[in-house]
Amino acid sequence: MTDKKKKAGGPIRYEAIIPVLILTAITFIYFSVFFDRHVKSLAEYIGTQINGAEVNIEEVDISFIKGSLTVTRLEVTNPEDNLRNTIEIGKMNFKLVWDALLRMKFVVDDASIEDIMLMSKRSRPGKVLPPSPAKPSKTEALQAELVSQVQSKYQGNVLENLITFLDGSSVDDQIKEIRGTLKSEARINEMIKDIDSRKNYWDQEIKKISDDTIVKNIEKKIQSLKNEKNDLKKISMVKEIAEDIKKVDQKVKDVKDKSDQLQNEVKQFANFPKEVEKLVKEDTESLKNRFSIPDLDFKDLALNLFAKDFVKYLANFRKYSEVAKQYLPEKKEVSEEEKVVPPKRSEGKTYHFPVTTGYPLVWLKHASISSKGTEGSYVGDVQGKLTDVTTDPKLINKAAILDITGNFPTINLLGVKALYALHHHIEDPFQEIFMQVNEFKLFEKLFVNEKDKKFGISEAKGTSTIKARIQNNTVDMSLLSHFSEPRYLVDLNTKSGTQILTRILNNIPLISLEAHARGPFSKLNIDLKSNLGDELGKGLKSELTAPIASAENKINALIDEKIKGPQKELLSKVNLSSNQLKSLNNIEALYKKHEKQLQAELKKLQGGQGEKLKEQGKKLLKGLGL
Amino acid sequence: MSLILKQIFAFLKLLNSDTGNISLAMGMTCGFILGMTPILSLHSLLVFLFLFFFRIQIGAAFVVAFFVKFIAFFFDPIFHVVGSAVLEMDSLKDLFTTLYNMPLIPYTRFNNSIVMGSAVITIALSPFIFILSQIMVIKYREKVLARFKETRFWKFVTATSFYKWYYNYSQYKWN
Repeated sequence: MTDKKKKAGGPIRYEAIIPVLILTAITFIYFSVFFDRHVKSLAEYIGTQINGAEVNIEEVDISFIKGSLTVTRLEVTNPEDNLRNTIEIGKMNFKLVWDALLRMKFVVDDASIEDIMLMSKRSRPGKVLPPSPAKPSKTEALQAELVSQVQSKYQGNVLENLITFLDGSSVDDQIKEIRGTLKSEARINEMIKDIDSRKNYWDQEIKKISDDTIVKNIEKKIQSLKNEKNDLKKISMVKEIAEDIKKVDQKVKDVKDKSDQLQNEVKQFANFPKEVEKLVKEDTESLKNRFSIPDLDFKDLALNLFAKDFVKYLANFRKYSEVAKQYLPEKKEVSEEEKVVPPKRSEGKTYHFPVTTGYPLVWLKHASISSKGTEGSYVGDVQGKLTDVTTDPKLINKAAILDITGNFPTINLLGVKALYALHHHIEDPFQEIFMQVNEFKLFEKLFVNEKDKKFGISEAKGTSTIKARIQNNTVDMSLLSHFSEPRYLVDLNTKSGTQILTRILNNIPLISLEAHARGPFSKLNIDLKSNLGDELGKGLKSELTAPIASAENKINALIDEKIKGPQKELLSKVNLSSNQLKSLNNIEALYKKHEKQLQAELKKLQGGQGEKLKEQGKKLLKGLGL
Repeated sequence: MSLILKQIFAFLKLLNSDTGNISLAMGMTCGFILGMTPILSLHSLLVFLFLFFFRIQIGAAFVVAFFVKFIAFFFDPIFHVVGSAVLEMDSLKDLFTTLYNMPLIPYTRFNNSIVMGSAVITIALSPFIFILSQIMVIKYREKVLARFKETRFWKFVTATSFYKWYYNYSQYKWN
């Protein structure tokens, strides 16, 4: 047998190195050619899901060698108007720190965000995702909670009532239409019918009961008993009278039962007027509502005008606060992944040395935001910075701050200053926001917006300052706004209503709004003051006091006309029932009186008859010699 | 049990094969380091890369690592004592702080007493293990294997057609 000696290879295992090199080359090609596209697609998909409408990115350029990320033209479609973008950013550059990357941490040392456009037009309509009402997101639920609080509080909108009243057809016409539909009237008629039927029944019953033939018969029998000479006949007559008296006794009992029954019914009837009173009140209120006659209490008019808008700001603040909490946690728990993997054998002891260059998982150290607008474009003149956004604020021990100033002339937004700080690095974390807009144009702020009636501000110049702070799920938010040169939009059905409202509004050249919300989100204490509410209230009060009083009088007259008559009749019927009860009681008394009298007579007769019979018996025995 | 027997037979096969002494001894040394060191550390990965790129007997490394793993537990107290002593040395504190804050180095888990102790001891012992392994392999091949091949029993076995068939088969399989 010949043992072939294998040719000895060199110290390096080339047959293993070549596949590794091929794999490395494939990886390199993937990251050079495809990775950017895949990141772009993934970012677009995730962005679309979060935004609820299409998010587009023109290009993503990731360089591992430079440690840089560049995003070109990010467009975020406005879900409410898919022809426009909520925001469009021309370019974003991020420079990552290699030192951190080697530790699998993403630290952006410097970033820039350029050419920010708000409400820019899209080249094509953005796809809007269908809403998913079955499972609202957590943030949507939080928003809904706040909005529902205000809606439930101000559902009976004073202003809308006033407008409806101003705009309504005449009360007289409407009264004509609704005659005969009053609940109280219908009930009274039912009650009268009820009483009438019972009255007839009781009349018959009383008639039956008040038949005193039996008493008279007994009286006659007693009289004839007195005149009777035949003793045996007398005895049988006494028996007969006793039987009759028993019948009288039964009759007394019957009368008593009927009396009790009638008493109960009378009691029920006695409650009828109270019930009628309540129904009349209800009818009056429903008529007032039907004619939209408002209560002239304008204390909360400002709340009615602006509460829903203010709450939208609150809801947005809460939404972003919750999002910030989710992605920039207040408390960083040490995750298992960040520890060096524990030994499977003995635990040993892991020594910790001072951290001099530790990084959180993600840390955007500094991002400068700048854009220079051009005339007619949606690009704003924006300057600002975003600093220290991180997944572990406690580690870097700095607050995340977004500080922006700028102007967006195309959309009439001037002197914008926004400062948003997340103090999640301290023991008792909080978030605060300061937002100021020196000038903005208000378009179509409608307080009443219905098909045939509109009331609001069509155009005004505004300034606004919002300050908010949220800590331990408790918010403290204030809003101060002024609207000058307002042009009001009043379009009601009736000319008189339009004239009244226009007259009042022309005397309000400057609108101020001061709003505060304090407390936990679940139980907010909202306070809103606006001179629009006060002035509108005063004006409307002076204009409407007389018509409202007149309308109320007319309704009262209608109630009186429709209800008072039947009510009176009802009361008389109830009195009649009481009279029936009295007569029944009289009958009972009469029977009792007669019964006693008859029983006394009978006793007397029975007693005398016995003695006589005894005497006659003795005589008879003596005659027989016994 | 069959797994252990399989490993033992695989190791004997390696010893009896034409594999170079150095390659085998290097493999056994790497296996010693892998076996003694907790597996999830960066220097274990370095040993793997070393095995992968250099012509070191991987089978020997794995067989030795497999058996050493069983006895490594007994040395943990020694590793802990040595590792703690090293990590607590004041003169090295600045070095460790720097390493602790350096990229990649924390993945070695050098700050754990067992990892540090096992690394220090196994790396310190690895030249001796290498020399010892090499001597043992050479001696085995000279003394045991050569003598065994001279025995009548082995000559009888090699003369059988089954052995010839198996020899051809194994040549075909491995080449």
